[in-house]
Formats: sequence, structure tokens, C-alpha cells
Amino acid sequence: MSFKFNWNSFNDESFYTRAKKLLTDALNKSNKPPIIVDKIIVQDLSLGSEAPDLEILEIGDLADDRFRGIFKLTYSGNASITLATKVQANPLNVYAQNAPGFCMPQFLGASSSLAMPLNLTLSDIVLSGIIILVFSKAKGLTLVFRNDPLEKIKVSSTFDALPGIAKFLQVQIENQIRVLFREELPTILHKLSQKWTPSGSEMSELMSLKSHTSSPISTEPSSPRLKPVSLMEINPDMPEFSPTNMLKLEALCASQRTLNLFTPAIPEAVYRSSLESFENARRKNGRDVQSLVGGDDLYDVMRLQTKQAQNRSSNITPKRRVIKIKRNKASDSTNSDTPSAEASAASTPISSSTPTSASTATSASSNTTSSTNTSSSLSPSSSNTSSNSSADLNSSKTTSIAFLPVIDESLASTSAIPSLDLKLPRQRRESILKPTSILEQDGKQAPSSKHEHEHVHWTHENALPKDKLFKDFFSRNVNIRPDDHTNNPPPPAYVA
Amino acid sequence: MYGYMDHLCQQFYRCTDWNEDNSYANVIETARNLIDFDIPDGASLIVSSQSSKNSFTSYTLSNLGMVNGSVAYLYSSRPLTTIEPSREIPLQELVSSYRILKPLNPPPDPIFWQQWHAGVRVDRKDTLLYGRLFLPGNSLEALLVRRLSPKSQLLVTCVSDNQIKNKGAITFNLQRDNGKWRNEIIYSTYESLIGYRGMYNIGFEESPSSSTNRSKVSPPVSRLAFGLEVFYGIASKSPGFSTAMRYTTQSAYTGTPLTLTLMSNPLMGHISATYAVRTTNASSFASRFDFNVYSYISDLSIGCEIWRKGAISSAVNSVEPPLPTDFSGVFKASTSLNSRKLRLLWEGRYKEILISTGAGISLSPRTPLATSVGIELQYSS
Repeated sequence: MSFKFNWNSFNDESFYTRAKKLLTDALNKSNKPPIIVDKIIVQDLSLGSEAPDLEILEIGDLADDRFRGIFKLTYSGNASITLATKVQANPLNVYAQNAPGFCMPQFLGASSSLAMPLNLTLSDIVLSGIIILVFSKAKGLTLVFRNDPLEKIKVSSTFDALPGIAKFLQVQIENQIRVLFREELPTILHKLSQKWTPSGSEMSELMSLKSHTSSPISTEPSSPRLKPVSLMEINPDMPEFSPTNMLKLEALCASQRTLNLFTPAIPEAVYRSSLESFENARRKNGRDVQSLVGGDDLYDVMRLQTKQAQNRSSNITPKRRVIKIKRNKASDSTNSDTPSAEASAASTPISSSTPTSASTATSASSNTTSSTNTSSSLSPSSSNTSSNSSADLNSSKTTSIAFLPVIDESLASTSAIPSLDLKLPRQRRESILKPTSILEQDGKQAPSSKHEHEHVHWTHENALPKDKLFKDFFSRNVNIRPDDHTNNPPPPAYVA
Repeated sequence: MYGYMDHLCQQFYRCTDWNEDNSYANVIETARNLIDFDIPDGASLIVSSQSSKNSFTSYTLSNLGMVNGSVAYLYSSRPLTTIEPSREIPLQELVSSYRILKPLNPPPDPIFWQQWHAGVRVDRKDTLLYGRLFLPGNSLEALLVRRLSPKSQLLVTCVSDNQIKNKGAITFNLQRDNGKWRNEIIYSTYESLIGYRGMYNIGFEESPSSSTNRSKVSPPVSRLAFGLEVFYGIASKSPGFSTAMRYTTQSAYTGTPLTLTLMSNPLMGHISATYAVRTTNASSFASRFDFNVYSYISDLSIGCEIWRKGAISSAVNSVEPPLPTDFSGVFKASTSLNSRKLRLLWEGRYKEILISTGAGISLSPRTPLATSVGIELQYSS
């Protein structure tokens, strides 16, 4: 089984000019020995009209990420390359450049330089070899020649008139090309293939990042992190995640990487750095953290409950349920305060609710099928729809899901549990600790005037700027409307 | 400007009556001094001192690339009495400039050098020992000069460095000088190089006794010298050959000293001709033309140097020519057509420190750009 090469695609003129330029730059990049006086220029490059003959002899291993095979390569076309440079004809000049200056006899004119032009042409290349090719996605490509592939090569130069020098050049170049096939070509291909393996691509990105930061003038301003990363590259065995989600996460993380002082808050996340300030702010405002009576803050309650939960065991992530207690005041209308399983699935401790309070809440609400109704509807979409359906208070902008048991004053006062009217349309009143009023997405919404709470209601006006984060945390706006954002994420400034 | 150790070597030759002008390597010395002078690279500081009449030390510190320095010691068996501290030394002794040739004198008979005391021969051969250690790179260089007889001298130089082939090299140079001609045989272990240099003078005034007549013999009016050198590197099979001719005279009309040299390398087809003239006591000019017969590459270089009188002397006497110690600074410039580079150098003395600063300005892009700037400060006590 052999391959068919479309060798004519190389006949493109622009390909050859570009290839010649690349090769010339590569040859002149490193330090040249003192015997070469001028730049090395590729004058002529031609890959010939005949394609090499590649045949598969054996395939040893074939898998999704591995390949091993033995090929046979023969080539006897008319490819050729011509190089032009200038060489130093005075050997004593080369000596004078290499020798240590202190103990070198001072040459007066014996080391004058004489630069002679040299044109070197390699043509009539005949290759025949057996290649062992091993490819693995993890390690890259390894290519080894089982035998010496070079059979014949014709070296012609401007020194052909001098048979001694011509023979010397022929022998030297043949040896170098054998070394190239044996040693250099596998190394080069291996390094090149490492770009497509996971560890290799990281290494190459690290190298490129290092070279970009070390070079004073960096031509490429973007850091490797800007490139979208597919999970298949990291771990091919795992299932793919949705690219949309990955991009959203990427944009989210990127929006934080900025020098702007005011960054948009990440929804459903708590910033560990702001916890202390929350606590201090609470205390400063004269609220007693400990007491629950009196309609205390949502946050204090949360903290207490979380502490209790943590004291018990850290593994359990209790769910928080909201108890909607229907009141007689019909003016209140509540949004659906459905507990959310997703929120409890969030891994921050604040979000976890305590089992005790949940149990009390559930016991209190065991009679309330409506609450179970609502509690059963845990999906955000349902809450969205319910919020949309309910009276519009804050629901136009947010669908708030409370994670805490809304400890109503009725509960706290241990009065009789009012009955819930199932048949009436759900008139939910906004509870005291209605998170929706607190947890506004952008703080623009004024709390409902319908709120008639005996207790101090933590309203938007009292909110400290940083408290908005908690609001954001409790708002479960997956489908965020574009005008919800007051401040769009500033364009990320990558400090590379 | 010659370094302190180079200056000591020259003073050693002068004290032992060894004529350095007679060496083939110095045939085109005048033109080389005026055109191919060295510009200091980076910033360097040389501090030297004379511990006694026989021993000298020197420390250098330079920031070429990274900070590096060296420590050098020199011992001379003959006391060098002409060494002066940097605040008093005449500037002409340190600056390489137009070389006025010393009169050639035949070396004395070896019997005059023998010293006997109590029936035992007590004369010692003059020896100079020199060693320098380069500090960050741990490389070492050493020099030994031994005056074997009035007519012959042995010069041994060696270098020990991690970065050169075989980690080091040593070169032997046996010189024989007859006044009229000089031969040198050279052998170096770096690629097993052997060489021969020879020089022959015409217009040489014989004088019966050198030591008494030296001061009375006037400088030679004209002198013609021929020389050749042959080298062959055995390990790398690299031959080298060149011949040169130098004619020194004084202009018939104005009396200004002038030097003409012609050098050729027949193997490579390289011919070089120079012309140097010392127009006044304080200025010299030189030009050189190179031509290659095989590749037709040619080059024209010119160089000049101008000495500046010190502030004190100009106030005292403005009519008479300035005395040698009156020069306070020298300005050199040179350029060449092929290299398209202008090289400038200023050397002088400020208080007790000898300063040498220079710059290489490349003219090949349209705007001049200073490609290399350097300063070197020397102090010796």
C-alpha cells in the first residue's frame, strides 16, 4: 500500500520564494564559523517534479491516540538546492581569528583576508530507506531510519576545477547529510510534533511566553491564556464540555483580570476577601449578630446557620428552603421564593443551609403544600416563570431565590401557623427577609413600597456597596437580560 | 595608550638596549599607530604601582559585558629606573604615535657584558617575568623575556584558558639581532605553527663603539629596510607569507620626517602601501591604500593625530616649540572608505589620572550613529 503525493502543488511560485526566504533566514541566524565571510543565501530551490515513493510495510499499533508503522521511502527525483556565500581563502586568517591574541605571533600581512565566492549545488539526490514511525498523542512523533537513507548525492561547486577541493567538499557534505538524516531530522520532527501534544503545547506556550516577556519588544501582545482551550486537548478521555459554557466561564474569569477598581461581581459567588468587611459592616451598623428576633439581617442568620452546619459536619450541604407564609395582607405579593437546589449545590459555605432550620422550616411547612409545591419546583426556569407570573415587584429584573429559610416573624413569634390558602392564586407576600428586595442585581430597584414590615427591613438604601455582592450571590439570573448590567465588564486588561 | 605592563616591557627593552624597531612586526608601526589605533571598549580602570625598582603590580577593572578584571604582576631583574608615576610621565611615552626610529647600533661584543668578581662570573642575564590572572574567567597569561646575549633574546608567551583548544597555548620566539639584520624563529603549540621572520637594513651607520657614541650619533637621515615572514601551521596545513619594505627619510625641502612602506602578500594577492608624515612637532598624518589583485577589493584609509599643549606651557613660551613634557593631550581620528566608520580617540592627562576615551561612529546609514564608546582611566604611582 503506497501513498500518492500531489507533488505539483509545490510548483506555486510564492511557495518557493517564501521557502527560500525562510531557509536563508534560518541559515544566517546562528553564528557562522570564521571561514564563512558573507551571508549564506539560498539562490535556487526546487523540489523537483517527481514525488517520493512512500509505501506502508507494516502497521504495528493503531489506536485512537497511538500509531506505529514501518514505511519504505524511495526518492530519485530531480530536487536541487543552490547556496551562495563567500569563504575565506587565507587559512592563516582563520587561524588568527581563533588563536588567543596574547600568544599569537603578530602577523603583518600573512593573515590578510581574501574572500572568495562559493556557489554550492546539491542535486541528483537518491534516497532509499526504511522508516519506523511512532506517534502517540501524549509523547509526539518519533521517526527513525533503520538504515542510512542516502544513496547518492551530487555536489557541485565553483571549486570543481580543483579536484582536491571538489572531492573534499563531496565527502564532507555526504557525511553531514547522513548525520542529518540519522540524528537531526528525528530530533527536529519530535520537537515540532510536541506542539500538538498536551504537555508539549504547554511547554511551547511557556517557552513562547518566556521569550515574549524576556524580549524587550514583544511583537505578540496576547498571552497564551487568550486562546480558547478545548478540553479535548487537556484530557482526551473526558467528555467534552459545552464550549459555550467554557467561553462564558472564560469571559467571567477574564473580566476579573483587570486593573479597574470596579469590576462586575460574579454571580453566585462569594468573595472570600469581603467576608470580614461584611461582618464589620454589620457590627458597625449596630445590629446584633446573635439575635434572630427582630427581623435581623439575612446575613447574620446565614452565618449562624452555616456555622452550625459546619460545626456538625462539613460534608453535608444542607438545603435551604423558603417557607412562604401567606398572610392576610393581600397587598403583599411575593415572588416565588423557591429554594434552589443549584444554589445549594454551590460550594461556598454561605450557600449551604442548615438542616436544623430546614427541618423546622419543613415541619412548619409540612402542612403547606404550596411550599412543597414551590419547593419541588427547583428549576430556575420555573422560578423564572413564576416570578414572571407573579406580581411585579422586583421580578421584572430578578428572580430571587432564597437559600435561607425565610424566618418569618410569625415563626419567630411562635404563633399559630397560618393556614395557607391553596386555592387562591398564589399571593405571596414579600417576606421580611425577602431576598429579592435585598438581592438586586444592580441596586437600581427601589424596594417595594408595599413592604410593610414591622421589622427593620434591610433595604437597598441601607445597603453598603459591597453588600451588593451578596445580592448578586442570591440572585439566580442565568438568563441575564442585557440591560441588567449597569457596568459591563471592562475590556480585560491582561497584565502579561 | 599603552597599558602599564606594555610600557614596562618597552622600558625593559630600552634599559637592555634591545631595538624594537628592528622587528619585522613593527615595519608598518607608524601607519598602524596613526590609522589602526585601539579605542577602549566599555569603561575600564587600571591602577598600578611600583613596589620597588624591580617589581610592579597592576589591577584592572572593566565592565565589558559583565564586570571583570585582572591582576598582573611583573618582575624585572634589571631595575627599571625610568618609570615615573602617572602625574609626571611624559605623554609621548605612553601614546602610540609616529615612530621616530632610533639609531641602529651594533650590539657590543659579548665579552663586554661579562662581570667578574673574585674569580667568579657574577653577571646575570636580564629577565622579565610577567603574569596576569583574569578574574571571572580564571584564565592566565604569562610572559618571559630573557636576554641570552647582546645579540639574542628569548621571548616565551603562554596562555591558559578553558575556552581555547587544548586549554592553553605556548609560543617560543628566539630573536637574533645583529644591528644590520635580525632573524626570528617562532614556534607555537596552537595548531603547531612554525614561522620565520627576517629583517635587513640598508643605510646603517656603523660606529665603533655603541655605548659612548650613542648620544652623539645623529638620527639617520634615511634608512631602507626589507623584511619577510613565513608561517606554516602544521596541524591545519595553513601557509602564510608576506614581504614588506620601509623607507624612512626626512623631506629634502622642509625637513619633516616621513615614512613610506609597501607590504605584499603574494599568496593572497594583497598589496598595501602607506605614507606617513610628521608635519609639525605636534601633528602627524598617515594614509594607506590596500588592494587585492585577485578580488579587486580596495580600500583607502587615512588617520591623523594632533597634540595639544598644556595650559602652563602656552602661557610661558609661545614662540619656542613646546617641550615634550608640555603636551597635555592628543586627539586622533581615522576613517576608511570601505568600513564607513569614523574612529575618534582622545588621550590626555587630568591631574594624576591618564584618560583615554574614544568613540566609533558608523556612517553607513544616513544618520551617524555611535556604535562603540569607551573610556579608560589609568593611575600609577
